[in-house]
Amino acid sequence: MEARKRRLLIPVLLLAGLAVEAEANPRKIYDRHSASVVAVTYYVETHFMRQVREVEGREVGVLVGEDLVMLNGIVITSSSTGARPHTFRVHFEGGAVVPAAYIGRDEFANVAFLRVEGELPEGAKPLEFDPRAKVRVGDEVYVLGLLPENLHPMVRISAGRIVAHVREPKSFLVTDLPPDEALGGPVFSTSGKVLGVLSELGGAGPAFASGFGGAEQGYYGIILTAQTLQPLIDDPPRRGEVRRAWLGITLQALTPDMAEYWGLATRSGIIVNSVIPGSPANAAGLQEGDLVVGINGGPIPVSQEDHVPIFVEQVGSSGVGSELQLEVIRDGAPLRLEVVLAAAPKSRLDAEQYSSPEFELTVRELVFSDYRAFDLDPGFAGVLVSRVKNGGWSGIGGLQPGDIIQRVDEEAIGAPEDLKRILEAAIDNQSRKLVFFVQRGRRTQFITVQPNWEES
Amino acid sequence: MRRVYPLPGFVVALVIAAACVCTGQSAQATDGAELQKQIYAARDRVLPALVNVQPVVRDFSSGTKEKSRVTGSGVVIRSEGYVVTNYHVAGQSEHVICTLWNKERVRAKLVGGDPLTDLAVLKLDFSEYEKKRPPTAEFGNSDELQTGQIVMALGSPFALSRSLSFGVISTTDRYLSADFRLPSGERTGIFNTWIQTDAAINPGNSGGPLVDLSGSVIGINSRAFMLANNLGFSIPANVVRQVVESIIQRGRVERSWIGVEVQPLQELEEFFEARAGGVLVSDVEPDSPAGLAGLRAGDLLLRVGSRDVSARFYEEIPDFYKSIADLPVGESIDVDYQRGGAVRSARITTAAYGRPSGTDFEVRDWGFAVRSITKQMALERSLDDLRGVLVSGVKGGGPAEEGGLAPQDIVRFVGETPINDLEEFRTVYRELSATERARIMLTVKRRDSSRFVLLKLDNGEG
Repeated sequence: MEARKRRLLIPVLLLAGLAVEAEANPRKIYDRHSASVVAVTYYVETHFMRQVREVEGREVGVLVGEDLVMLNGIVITSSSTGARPHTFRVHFEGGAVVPAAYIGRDEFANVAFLRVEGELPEGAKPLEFDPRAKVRVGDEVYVLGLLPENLHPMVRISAGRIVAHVREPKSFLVTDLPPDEALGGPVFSTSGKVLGVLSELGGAGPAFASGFGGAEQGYYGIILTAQTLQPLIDDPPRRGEVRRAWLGITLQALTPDMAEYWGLATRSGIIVNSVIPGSPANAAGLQEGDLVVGINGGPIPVSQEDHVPIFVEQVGSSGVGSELQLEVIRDGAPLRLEVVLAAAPKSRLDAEQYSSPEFELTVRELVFSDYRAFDLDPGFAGVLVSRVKNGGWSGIGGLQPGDIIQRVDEEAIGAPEDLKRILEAAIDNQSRKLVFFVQRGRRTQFITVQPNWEES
Repeated sequence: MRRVYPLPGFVVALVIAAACVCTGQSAQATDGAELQKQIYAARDRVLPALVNVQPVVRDFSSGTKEKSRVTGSGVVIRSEGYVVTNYHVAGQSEHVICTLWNKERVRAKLVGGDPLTDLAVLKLDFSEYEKKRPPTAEFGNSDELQTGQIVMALGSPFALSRSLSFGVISTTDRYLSADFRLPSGERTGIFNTWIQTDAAINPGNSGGPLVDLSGSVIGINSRAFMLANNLGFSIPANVVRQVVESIIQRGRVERSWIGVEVQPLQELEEFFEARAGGVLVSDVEPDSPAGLAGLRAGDLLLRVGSRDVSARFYEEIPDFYKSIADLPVGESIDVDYQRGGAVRSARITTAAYGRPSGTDFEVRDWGFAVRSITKQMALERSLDDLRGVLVSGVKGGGPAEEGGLAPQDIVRFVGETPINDLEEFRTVYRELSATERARIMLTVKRRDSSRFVLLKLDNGEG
């Protein structure tokens, strides 16, 4: 019965397919969807010949809601000084330019969202992704990207193919579409369906793929599909709000060789290298040296170091407060542990910051990763200098990016707010001298900052 | 009219210029001949003691023991055949070939080295040498140098031996940041300022003498700013003399350590109410002698033992560190310091500074190299203790790299055997090499985590 039914259906489907095919050639895709593609420009600090410069960046954006623009997360991570990009502008086909505000970024998919703050030009319409769109290896696909600046029209279309469907360690589609000028651009099937957006295998790609790229291998485009993107579009990530869950361990891959060495039945998993005090893993009783070989009844597909981000994402995207069943091997004996996930610590990009135009100094709060990077004791208090103009008062005094300010004069500094209070008081009083006590590397020292009020 | 004005001016200028040249020439004719004589005399005193040094140096940073021949300079300073050179030239040498002023070659052995001052001492082996032995050069007093004083640099720039260059002392007490590191990784230059000279110093001049017009060695040429014009730096002779003496006597330099870092007071005098000078403590190592005696950052050292101490400027910092280093190890000294306006006293018992760097060992069958961990290495890396051995290099394509070992990892266990020091590591390595085991599990410390590294030794390729 089943077989006969299918046979009957095939000719019908083929006809329908041909009809759609005929309807959606690349020209039509270009004409229909160009108005959803925007150029996003912004300014970001970058080191240039030992100096810090504000440089303009330009990325492909996609209008995905009435006032919502989605683009590659590289826009947020590209600064070499760690400063935030600013002055976002959305350029529409036809010349309209509208300012936009940064909303947030999803670190797993590595996509960022902007809110357009102004009237959209006539004809601009959000793109709708099709979660049912299907393509196979060998199929032709198209991407809409951007031409270099100041050319009109600005949108271009490129054709490519699905060159592989990777299944391990995770399922994703690889294309030969060039990710350079079209990173973040919408990808279409030959039938005109919106499959997703173009990303890459490597640094600008999703977190799980960040370890696989590299210029020496050439750039591979991969497709972020509607399944990944739609939940983010429906409820965009907001800066400062941590949705990512964490266990609170450092880990390495449990390779097949190691599993064999220890006489284990499994071929993959992770090894707990350390447990962070006060973390969910700590509360659940996970210990250094534990082998985690299963999660919620399923395997952990981590058999080499490059696959570790997959486990991190598996945990991270489980949701804050969710419960995980971990299959653990401790000293050769199996063990089951239940972990209730907590919100991951704030990332560097979300740290509170304070910038003083007078002192030409920007600091930010210390976040968890800083405590690890600088090997700080848990009780350590201070703020991190994220940028300093070398010709400003702070720079002349000798403050450097990476310094951790612990005290100014006699006052302890625990948060950017503390420094703000002190520097604003110094401005009110026209203070002549401030003595900063900072940690640089693993050494402390005093630094004198001497404002020159006459000059300003 | 307008055209005429520049002319008289131009003529006058010509005349003055000509006069200058004339008087200049006549002055140089007499003084120049005198100077030339002095230069020849100074040359004759030191050139025969000059040595071209060609050590074969060891390097483990690639994970295997690499040997390479380098060229530097040196000068004979004792009739027994002791030669001073730089640590970065010969401090880690296997064996050394020296070429004397008469172009004869003589073997030499490393007596000892001191990375902290970048000095090393070699001893020429005259057992098979029957020609005339080289004379010895004399040290001058580097505390009496003057900016503008005429000097000569002798050595083998770019391996061109017996080269002499000429210039003046550009400054007598140049401070160079003590964050500078030797190619082998050790901090250097903590205990001295530098003689800066415009006498040409190029790679290969390292270890050669800087000489005054009397032919005395006033410094050992050690560094230059590359791509700059004539910015060379010499270690002052008074520092050299003390270090060399110590190496000849004991094979090494023993120094005291109390665990304080200091900074210049200059703009901070008011803030710290420093009325009578002092040395500002910028950091104290927690478990160091100073830390245990209660000292902390912000304290102002006034007196150390019988010596009043003060440092307003960076140029005075190296001398303070040296005065601490020169204290006898294990001695209790009384220290006066000021904190918040009140003068306090503390008794500090000095500890040994210890070796800046450990001993290297090539773990050939496993494809990496390790180094023993010294106290100074542990301090630099914020390690809690000295347990284990430090991975100094990992060989590309070897079992260790395949297993994920990385430089700076600390090997804490081999299999189930704990590793406390290099000796224990060597023992386990030898035992396991004899058993021809195919799998060896290392447990390493990387930053604040432990990590497993599985070595597969049976990859079949031979």
